[in-house]
Amino acid sequence: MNSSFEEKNLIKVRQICFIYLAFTPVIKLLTMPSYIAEVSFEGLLLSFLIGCAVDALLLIIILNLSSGQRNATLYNDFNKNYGSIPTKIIFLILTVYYIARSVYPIFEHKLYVETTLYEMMPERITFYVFFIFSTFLSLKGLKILGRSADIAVWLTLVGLALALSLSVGSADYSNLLPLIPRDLAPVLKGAFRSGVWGFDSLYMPLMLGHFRAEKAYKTKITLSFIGGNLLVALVIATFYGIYGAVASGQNFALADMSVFSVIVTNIGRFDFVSVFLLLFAQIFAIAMPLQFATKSLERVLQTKNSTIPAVIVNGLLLLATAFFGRQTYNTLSLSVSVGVYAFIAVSAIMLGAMLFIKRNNRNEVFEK
Amino acid sequence: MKLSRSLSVNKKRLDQSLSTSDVVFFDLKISDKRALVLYVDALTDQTQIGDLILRPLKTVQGQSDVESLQKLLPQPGSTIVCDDQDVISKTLEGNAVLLIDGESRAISFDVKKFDFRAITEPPTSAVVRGPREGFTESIKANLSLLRRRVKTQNFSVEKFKVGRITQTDVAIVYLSNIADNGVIDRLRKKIKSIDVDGIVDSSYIAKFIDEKKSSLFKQTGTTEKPDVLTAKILEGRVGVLVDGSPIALTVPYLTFEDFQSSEDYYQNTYRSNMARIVRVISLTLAVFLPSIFVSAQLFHLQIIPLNFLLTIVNSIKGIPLSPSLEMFFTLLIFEILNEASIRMPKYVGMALSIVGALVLGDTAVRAGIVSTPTIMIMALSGICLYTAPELVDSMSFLRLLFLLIAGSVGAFGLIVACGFLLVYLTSLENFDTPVLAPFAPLVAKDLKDGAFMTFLPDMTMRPISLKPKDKKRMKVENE
Repeated sequence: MNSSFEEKNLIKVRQICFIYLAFTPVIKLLTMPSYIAEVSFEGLLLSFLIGCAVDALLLIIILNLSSGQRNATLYNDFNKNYGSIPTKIIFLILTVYYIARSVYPIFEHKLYVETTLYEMMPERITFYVFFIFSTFLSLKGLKILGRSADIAVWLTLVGLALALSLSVGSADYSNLLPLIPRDLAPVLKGAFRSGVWGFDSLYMPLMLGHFRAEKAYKTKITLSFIGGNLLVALVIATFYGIYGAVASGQNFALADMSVFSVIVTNIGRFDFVSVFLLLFAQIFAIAMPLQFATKSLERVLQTKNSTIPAVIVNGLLLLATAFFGRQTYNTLSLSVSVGVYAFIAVSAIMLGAMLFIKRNNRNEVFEK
Repeated sequence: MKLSRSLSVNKKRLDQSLSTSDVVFFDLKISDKRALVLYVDALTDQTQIGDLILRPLKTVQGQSDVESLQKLLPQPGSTIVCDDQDVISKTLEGNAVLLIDGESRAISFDVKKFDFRAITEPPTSAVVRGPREGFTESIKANLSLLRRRVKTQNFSVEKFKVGRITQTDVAIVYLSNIADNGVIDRLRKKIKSIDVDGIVDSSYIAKFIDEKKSSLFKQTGTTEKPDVLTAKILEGRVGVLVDGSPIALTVPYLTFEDFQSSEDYYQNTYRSNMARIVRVISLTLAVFLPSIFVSAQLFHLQIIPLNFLLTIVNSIKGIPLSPSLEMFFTLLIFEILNEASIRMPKYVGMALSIVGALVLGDTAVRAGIVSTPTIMIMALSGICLYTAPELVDSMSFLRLLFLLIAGSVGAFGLIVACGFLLVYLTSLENFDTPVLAPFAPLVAKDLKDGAFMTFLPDMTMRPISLKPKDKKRMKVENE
């Protein structure tokens, strides 16, 4: 079943909330905590929260800019106000953005799966089964993503609760003190680094017009965005509480944080239940930008069939993984030095374009 | 072709069309006119033909036209037919048709008599508490079982003839004030559009009304029990009864239906909840246990507790097959035994059990061909699978598929396969109803009868996922 993004009311507000609660935060659980800790040390929590606050602000602005045209999709809005060619250019930028922002998380998850979950290094092809799944998800519409979130949200919450409950006993939260360090420069540097995993707010524009705006929907979506990130903040705090000064080297601590628990000592690696539950949500989280890239490309190519855009997008990522998949940390450096700036630029373009439409619409109302 | 006024012409034409030896052409005289009674020997009650048709006809004096005779022989099922084809189809349905010389019309009498199985408890859904009646192969008996339970003028029955050759009776049943018109119209349209030579069981109809023909998963509910069908109709579903089949179909279908048992509603609610959880856990174990075990042995030894790992290591010493092949063959043997035990005559069953359990199981372990944990996992998975018997077809296939994935790419492959399955199932709909409802999409109100069920008096609303016209199921006290 191929479904076009032009279909209306495909997704419920609740499902968008679940996406922000279950899918988008879980990709921040792997290398992000150690990567921020490398520069921020005990200020890593603050760094993460600053990054989230900026993203949340961006989300609030996007939601407010869209409130005038609740029933119009982004494509229709842009097409009406800017014409066909500029709209296609904007959607091409969005396609590139979604592809670019999925590169590092995919490489990161590949390394995580190969080094942490397997006793011995598995065959390189093991991770590539993910692309069958991501292509399949890309062929589906927002409706299916939303319904998947309806189920996955419970698995994520159970996974996080289990991971936290097994590791919280080993954490010394005083490692996080002082919460606000005197020198804020490393904190801000850490916040900037978190941008590699951030900009989740930019999923929102493509969802506009595809849900029925209900009472307080903006508050609900924003709160779930904040809630999801607060859960990650809890994991980050526990992570730093366990590892303290050596946190920067612990790249995939999620799979190891609970090994010090008495339960694990007594009955075996029970903590892997949480690892597997979270991995289930993570594969959706890293496939999500590919689905959004497919749908953006669909608009650029003016096709109602998702097959070709899905094959292009997923094929590109498959090739990128095959050729550069082992350059995980080089990709991370590149994402910080170039990627985050590019993501900021895309956000600025989107906000600018949406602001212009908002003003246009307001003028139209006054003229009437 | 219209019937002729001449009985000889009609008889000749019908004799040519119905040239089988079980069709009886019984000649008689009514008053001074020649007449003919036509019936199929195997389908009619000859005592009724004698008592209700032939004996009263002997007394007829004077008027012997079709209208007078129909009045003289008062029988609720009698109809007047005017052409050859109608005479033939009525005869083949089990009616007796009376043709009179000089009349271009005939009278059909309902004197059907079929031998059918008695109403017994269905073997697939036995209960400790609750009604023990099950559907039979007779659509009439099945309708009577339903009518006895639903005494309202809103209970609608629509009949169709499906199958060019078999002309099978198919009935859709629903409550007109509750069931969604969209579902009824769509079902009616789908049944009318079936153009096939024959329908021999309700599963044929199910295959025609399924939205995704190639899907591995069920898209139509099934039941053999009238109390279950009644409950489903009361919730807003539409039932399909097929003559010759004891299995009724229901649409729209929700996957979770197969985790519910009629007994859940008859026994203590706490016990029912426990039973539902057991069913969900069992089915999960049935599908995933063999694959997780194999994947843990091959790729993730760290997840196995040390003591258990030592037991496994000791038991697999000297086993010639790899863990995945070992499990695959053990499951394959289980499937073979399962298939054979269903098809085999009952008196050979005991021998099969001995061969299966002792010769194949015990001896294979002693000979060092398979390990004890593998046999244990296979047995547990096999037993667990039957806690939701309606899902056995798809789940046993999934179990093998997941085993192959786990054996080749390990746990990550399994997780991706689960993601794939979730996306596929969330996109699967029948009659515009998602099969994973009320979980995906989440319908909070319907969760009162979901994985956990609330007390029956608290289920005040019908499942919204089924889009019933009348959502309210019962009167709430403070309304």
